[in-house]
Amino acid sequence: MSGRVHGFALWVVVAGTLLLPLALRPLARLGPDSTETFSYLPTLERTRTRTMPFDTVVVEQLREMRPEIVLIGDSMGGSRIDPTYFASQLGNRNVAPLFYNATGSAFWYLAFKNWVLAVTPRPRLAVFFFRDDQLTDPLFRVTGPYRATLDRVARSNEARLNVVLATRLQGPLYRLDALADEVYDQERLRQWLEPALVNAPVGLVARHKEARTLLGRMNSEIFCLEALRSMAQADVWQAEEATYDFDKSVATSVLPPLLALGKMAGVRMAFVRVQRRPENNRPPVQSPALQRYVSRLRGYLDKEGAFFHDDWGDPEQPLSMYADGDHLSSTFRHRYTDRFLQVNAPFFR
Amino acid sequence: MIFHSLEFLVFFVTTVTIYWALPHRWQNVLLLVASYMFYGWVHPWFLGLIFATTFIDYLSALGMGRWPARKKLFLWTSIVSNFGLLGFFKYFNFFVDNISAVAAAVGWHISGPVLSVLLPVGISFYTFQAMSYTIDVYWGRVQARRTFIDLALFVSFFPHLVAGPIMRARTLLPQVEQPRRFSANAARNSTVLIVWGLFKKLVIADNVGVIANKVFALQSPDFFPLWAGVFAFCIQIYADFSAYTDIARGTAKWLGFDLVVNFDHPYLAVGPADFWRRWNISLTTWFRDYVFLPLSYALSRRWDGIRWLGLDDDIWIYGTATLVTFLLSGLWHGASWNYVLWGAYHGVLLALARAGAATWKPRRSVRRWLTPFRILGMFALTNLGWLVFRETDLHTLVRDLALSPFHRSPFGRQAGAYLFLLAALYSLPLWIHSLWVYNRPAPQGADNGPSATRVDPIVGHEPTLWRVAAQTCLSGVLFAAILILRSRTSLDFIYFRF
Repeated sequence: MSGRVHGFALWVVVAGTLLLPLALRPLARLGPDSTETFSYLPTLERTRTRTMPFDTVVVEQLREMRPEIVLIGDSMGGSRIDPTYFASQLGNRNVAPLFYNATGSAFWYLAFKNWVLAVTPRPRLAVFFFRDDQLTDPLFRVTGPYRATLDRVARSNEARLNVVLATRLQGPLYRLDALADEVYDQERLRQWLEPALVNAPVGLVARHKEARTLLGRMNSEIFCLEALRSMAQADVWQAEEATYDFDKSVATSVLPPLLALGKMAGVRMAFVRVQRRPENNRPPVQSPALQRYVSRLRGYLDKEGAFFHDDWGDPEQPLSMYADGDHLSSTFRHRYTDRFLQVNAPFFR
Repeated sequence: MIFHSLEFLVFFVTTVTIYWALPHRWQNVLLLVASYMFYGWVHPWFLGLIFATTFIDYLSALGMGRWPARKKLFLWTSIVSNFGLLGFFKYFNFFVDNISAVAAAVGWHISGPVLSVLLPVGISFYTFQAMSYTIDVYWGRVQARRTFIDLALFVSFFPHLVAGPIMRARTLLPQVEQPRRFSANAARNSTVLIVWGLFKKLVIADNVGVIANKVFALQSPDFFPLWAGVFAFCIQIYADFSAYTDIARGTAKWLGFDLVVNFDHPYLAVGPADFWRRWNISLTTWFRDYVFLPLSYALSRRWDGIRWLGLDDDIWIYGTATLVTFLLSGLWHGASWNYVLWGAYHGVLLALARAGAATWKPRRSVRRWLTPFRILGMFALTNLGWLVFRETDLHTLVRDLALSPFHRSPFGRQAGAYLFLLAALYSLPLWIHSLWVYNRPAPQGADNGPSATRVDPIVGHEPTLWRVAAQTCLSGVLFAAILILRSRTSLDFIYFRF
């Protein structure tokens, strides 16, 4: 057979591979009609109806309060710092706590951008409380039940965060992925096909009445938070090197835009890594990968002119101070606040 | 750089385009530069290691040719340096931890140093490949190469650098050295192979991987969810690893290279020996040629004619050599006791199967009738092995193995059945493909790699009208399925960590 026939056959296969999925466009229209609006994070989903509107009340409160210091984080910060006591220990400076349970770095970035920087005069200092690699994990708590909380801090278009998530999920050439969606319109089909596939086996294992609640029950009874292993064990199988690879993850995280915003607005940035729950009354064991990660994070923040404090290994934070998980008992909030200010006295002076 | 990324697509298309416009010598230079770029993309310091391995093996092999009387010294230089690198980066902490634990057990408290460096991706693969070169030169099976670029390309050739298949010098080096011609036929077949590989990775492996990860994150899973999770992992590891090999073979074919077939539908194996003829074939044959056979010969000289416990010498020799080989193979997979246990488990299975086959030889008709049961039985045993492989915590492993189907929560069976069916649903194309290909003979002129045992209908041969139409449809449908069904959670290739 001639080389030309072989060459032609090759091009037919290559072109067919790229052209055949165009059939997805008409197929997508067969699915349930979507009347939802465009998502502010199109990387995650093209259309979506917000669960919560953007919270303007917080902006108003901040405007009235004119804080000098804002404290941002999730319940880790909330269970450690008593903001009123913190303010009094600093000579009654205005301190605004923005601790929202079950949030991650995407939320903190948006809270800083859309709430804190929306107010003038700007605060002088922003302190972020986080655990381990949360600062470089923008996907932490942005989907599922956590999305409603993110809605509160998100404007109708969050292009920068979208780019961060897109590069994390699809790599630096994420625009090609967006282009593929333009061409094949696959996301629309995916939105109803994916749940249909996941629900397909439900009818085979449960009766009609139970079927509707099966997946919800599985999540709440079998895969609930209490049933999971402690992080140290669960992390073993995850490629730790990849998870805690600071150099690889920082470029696709909210940390660089967060620091850039801080610099632009003239707000000093401080980051506090809280200590996880001690084991046998000793600081939790850190894998070599995590140690390396923290050391790289420290170097990076130093270089960027931000302040970094690490709680890990503090002998003044024994197991007896902890309530559930990594949270401190509320009775120790003053003690932690005192200790925090004492250790970082030069910074807060 | 990873195969299922757009950056790899750009990298690959650019490399192929420039590559075929160059003369042979420059093609090798380009491939070497591209391979080093591929490997050092995220961590450039990895390149120092691969260069060191290549350079030491290059000099060792040349030394063997120049000073034959000192061949053994050069061989040991190569082996010690390769194992030294591997041992330092992969096993240092494991050995220190275990020495500390043993010392603590006898009352000494030693706190050893902890190595805080990243495990270089693919180090286990390329050190084994490089070592096979020096051992083959030592045995006189391969001539020492004088052109460093050719040898460096043999060690670092990017399609199979990170997760195999492990190529032998006598198979790959001639392909590096001889001029290559673009084959549109091979490129067409390999396009389908690449799309099939991407489908296996992004649709099957990553989706069932989510199920496995969820189950193995549980502190104490119930019997049924646990085994559904093990089944999901069983599918994940096969789809994931064979996907890597398919993409590696496909991309290599676009560059005019043939890489060996690494998987031959292993879950249709009828017994342990058959399984290992089908699973990670390049690693299994590496251990067979460089560990099992030399050890067997050494043992046969010592144990010739012995008869213990009513069993002949060949059973003892085979059993011992197999067990040692599989213990080492288990350790190759990772610095953790569960991998060693997994290796031992398969070693024992093989030895028992051999002893069983020596005592019970059913007629061919009975064997044929038993085949489906043997496949199911071997699949169950393989799943048990994957539990050992996946569960890194030995206490949890013991607890998992002690779980009884009769002590379950009321909801557990339903949840387990759901997870099992979901994993089965995602893996359906894999089973259809395996059953379709099963027992197909390899016709003459098979263009399916040097060690193909049967021809995969996915990669046909001459471009007949029907074949091209079928390949186009298949490839297009697979690509469409990737677009709409790929997992939203992108997981790394499992074998990257080994």
